[in-house]
Amino acid sequence: MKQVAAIFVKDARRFWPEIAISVLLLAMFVLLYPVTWQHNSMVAETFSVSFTMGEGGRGFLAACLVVLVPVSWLVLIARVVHCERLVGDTQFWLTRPYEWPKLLAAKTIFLAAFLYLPFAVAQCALLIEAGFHPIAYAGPLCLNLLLVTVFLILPAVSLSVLTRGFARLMLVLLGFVVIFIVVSVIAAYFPSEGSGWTPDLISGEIGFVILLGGCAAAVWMMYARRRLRAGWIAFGGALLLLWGMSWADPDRAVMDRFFPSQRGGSAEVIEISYAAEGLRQPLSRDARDKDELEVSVPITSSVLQSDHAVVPEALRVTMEGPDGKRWQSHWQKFESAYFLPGSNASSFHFFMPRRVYEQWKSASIGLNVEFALVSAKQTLQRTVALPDRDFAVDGFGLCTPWSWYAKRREYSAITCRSAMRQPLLTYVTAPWVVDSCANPGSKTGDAMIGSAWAGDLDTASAQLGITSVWSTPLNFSNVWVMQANSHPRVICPGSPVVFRQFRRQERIRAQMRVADFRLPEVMSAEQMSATY
Amino acid sequence: MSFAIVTRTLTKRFGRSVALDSVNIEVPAGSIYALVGPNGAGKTSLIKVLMNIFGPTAGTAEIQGLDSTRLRGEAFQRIGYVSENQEMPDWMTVGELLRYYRSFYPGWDVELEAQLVSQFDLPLDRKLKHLSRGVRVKAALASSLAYRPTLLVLDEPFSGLDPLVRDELIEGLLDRAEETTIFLSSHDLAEIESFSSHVGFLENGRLLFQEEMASLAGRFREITVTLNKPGSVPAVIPASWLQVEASDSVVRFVESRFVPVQSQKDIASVFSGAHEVNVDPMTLRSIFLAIAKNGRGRATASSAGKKLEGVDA
Repeated sequence: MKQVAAIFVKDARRFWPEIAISVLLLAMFVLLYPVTWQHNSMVAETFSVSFTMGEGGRGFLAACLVVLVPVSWLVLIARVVHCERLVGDTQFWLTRPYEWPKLLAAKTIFLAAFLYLPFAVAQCALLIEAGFHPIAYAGPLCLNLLLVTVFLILPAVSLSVLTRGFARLMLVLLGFVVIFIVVSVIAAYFPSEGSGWTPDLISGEIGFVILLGGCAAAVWMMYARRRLRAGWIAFGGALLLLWGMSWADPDRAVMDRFFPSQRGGSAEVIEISYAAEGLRQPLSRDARDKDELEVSVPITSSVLQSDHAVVPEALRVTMEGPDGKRWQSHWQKFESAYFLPGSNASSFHFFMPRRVYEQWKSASIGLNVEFALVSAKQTLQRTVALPDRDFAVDGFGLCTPWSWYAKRREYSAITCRSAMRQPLLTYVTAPWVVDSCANPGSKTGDAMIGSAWAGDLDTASAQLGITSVWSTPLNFSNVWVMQANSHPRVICPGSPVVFRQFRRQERIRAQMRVADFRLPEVMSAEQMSATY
Repeated sequence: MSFAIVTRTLTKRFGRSVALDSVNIEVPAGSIYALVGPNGAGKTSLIKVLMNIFGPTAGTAEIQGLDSTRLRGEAFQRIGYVSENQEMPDWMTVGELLRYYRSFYPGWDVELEAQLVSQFDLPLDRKLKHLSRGVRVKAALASSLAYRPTLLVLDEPFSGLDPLVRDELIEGLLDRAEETTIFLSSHDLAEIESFSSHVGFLENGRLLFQEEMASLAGRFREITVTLNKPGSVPAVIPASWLQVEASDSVVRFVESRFVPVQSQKDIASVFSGAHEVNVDPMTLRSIFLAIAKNGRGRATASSAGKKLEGVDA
C-alpha cells in the first residue's frame, strides 16, 4: 500500500497541470452545457443553428467541450501511463522494486480520483441542474461510467500502454485515421453489391465484449509481462475484429431468428399493402452511389391491435423478373417511421443496383418486400394541461414550454430533458391554436393536432454520454399554417398535451407482395424539384 | 564458492542478429567483476538480460539464486542497477528522488543516504534534468547504494565522466565493496584495472575468458629476447606465445602462461642463441590488446565456467 500511495502522490504532484485543465474543462462543461437544453427552435434542423449562434457562442463552446473533455482525458491518461512507460528498455522503474499490480493499482486510483470522481460529480451536478435527483439515478450513473470506461477510457489506456510517449500515441491515432481513409477509398472502387443495413441485434454486445476483452488483455500483457507484440496483437486484433464485424455484419445472420414471421389471425399485428393511386406513385432516382438507384414505393399500413405502435426497422426486397431471374437486396434501413393503429399512408424506399434496374425497367416483375418490425405496446399515458413553467412527466422527464415573439409573430415549443438516456419511445400530441395565445379570438384550431415522436425503444437504463442529461425537443407536426402569408401555429398554456409511452413487445416480420410491379422511370434532379 | 551471478549458455538474438552467444559467466559473491569488451560486444545486452529487462532467447541466468526471468518487484530490493543510458524522473529534484525511492526499500538507510549525499556532494534541491551527466550518475549511484544492495550492477558507469567524478564514484563504490557484489561493464580497461577483482572479456557476443585479475596479471608477461645474431621467428613455438615479432636480433612476444622456470626453459629451447631475456609485467590494456590482435574471435574460453588457462594462438 505504501508503494501504491507513493506512486499516486508522485503522479498527482507531477501532473497537477493536466489534472487542473481536465477538471476545469469539466467544470466549464457543467456550467455551459445546460445552455443546450434551452434551445427553443421548432424543428431539429434549426437546432444546430440556434445551438451554435443563438446563445452568443456559449452553446458553441458547450459543443466544443463535449469533444475537449474526452481529449483532456486522453492527455491525462497518456501522461500518467507514460510516466512509468511500459515500452522500452531504459526506464528507471524497470530495475526498481515496482510490483506491477501495485503500479496498475496506483494508476487506477489516479484515474479514479482525477477522472472518474470529477466526472461523476459533473454528472450529478448536471442532473441536479436539470431538476433530477442523482441518488435516484445511481444505477444508471454507474452504467454510464462502465460504458465510458469501455468505449473511451480503456482504449485510451490501451493505446498509452502500447506506446512510448504522447507523440507516438498521436502518430498511432493518425495512422488509424489514414488506414481508415485508405480502406474507405479502396472500398469505394470495388463494385457495390447494394446498400446494406441491419438493426443492432447482437453486434452491440459482441462489440462491447471484443473491445473490453482486447483492451483488458493488452493492458494486462503490458503491465504483467511487458509483452509489446502480444499487447498489440490483443489490441489490434480487437480493432480488426470490430472492423471485420462491420463487413461481416453478424446481425444479418440472426435476422430470421430475431424477426420471425408474424402469426396470422387475431395475433397479427400489422397489415402492409401496396397503395399506388393518384399522385402517390412509385419513384426512382439516382442514389449517391452511382451504381445504385433509390426506388420509393407508396404503401398503406394498418396496425391491427389497439394501444400498439409498430416501428419499422429494416426491409428486404426480392424481385422476380419475367425471365425467371431473381434479385434480392440486403436488409436495408427503413428510415424513421412509426405506425399507429388505424390506416397510415406512407412510403418506403430501397436501393437497388442500376444494372438490375436496367434489366427489368420496362417489364412487369414480381415484388416481394419483407419488413422487419418492432411491435410496441403503450404502457402509460399522461395528459398535462400545459403550464407556463417547467413540468414533470412521469416516465418521460422534465419539460419546458417556450413561447417567444420574432418579427411580430408568436412562436411556441416544448423541450424536454431526461436523465441518463433518451426517454422511452413516446408519442406526444397537443392541440394547435391558429393565432396568438394572447388573442381572445384564438381557438383550438378545429382538432388540428400537432404530434411528435421522441425517444427510442432501447430499454437500457443509461446510454453512453459525457452528459447525464439528454435534451429532446418535441418537433410537432403541422406547425405552419400553409397560406400565402404562412405563419406558425402555437400551443397555448392550459392546452392538454398527451404523452403516450411505448415499450417494445416483440419483433416481427411482415410481407408485402405485388404481383405486377413496374419499376418507374428514373427522375432527374430537375424533374424531382419540378414534381415537389 | 557461492556466486552472485551465473549464466549457462545464455543466448540473446534480436531478429537475425546475435547479441549474446552461449555466454557462461560466474560472478563470485563479494567480487568486483568487470565485464570488458569493445563497443557492440554485447555487454549492455548481457546486463539487460540479467536484469530481466530483456528475456533470454536461450540458456539461463541466475541472479542471487533467482532465475533472471523471475527478477521483478521485491527482488530488486537487494539489487542496485545504474546504467549510462538509464532514464530518470527528470522533473524530480535529487532530494525528491531519494525520498520517493525510500518507500520502495524496507532496508533504506537514511544515515547512509545522508552520507552518500555528502560524499558525492549532491545538490538536493536541483532537478535531475538540470544536472550534469556526472552528478546524475552520482545521484543514481547514491539512490542505488542507500538500501545496501547485495548486488550492484553498473553498465558503463564511468563512460564520459571527467577523472575527478570517476574517482569519486570509484571511491564511493569501494567504500561499500565489502558488503556488495559489484558487476560492472566497461570498455575502458584502465579505469577498472585498479579495483576489479575479476574480469571477463566479451567480444561479438562471446565470452573469450573470465579470470581473477591477479591471476591474469600474473600469467601475462611481455618478453623481449635479444639474440647473438639476427634471426627470424622459429617455425615451432609454444602455443602460449602471442604476437611473436622479430626485428634484427630482437624477438618480442607475449607469454600468456608465464611460469618463471618453465617459461625460461621454453625460451632457452626455442632461442638457443639468446644472450639476454627481459620479462616485463603487462597492464590490463596491453593484455587485452595482445589477445585481440592475436586473432579476434579465434581465442575462446577453454570451457564453460572455467578459468581460462591460456589462449590459443
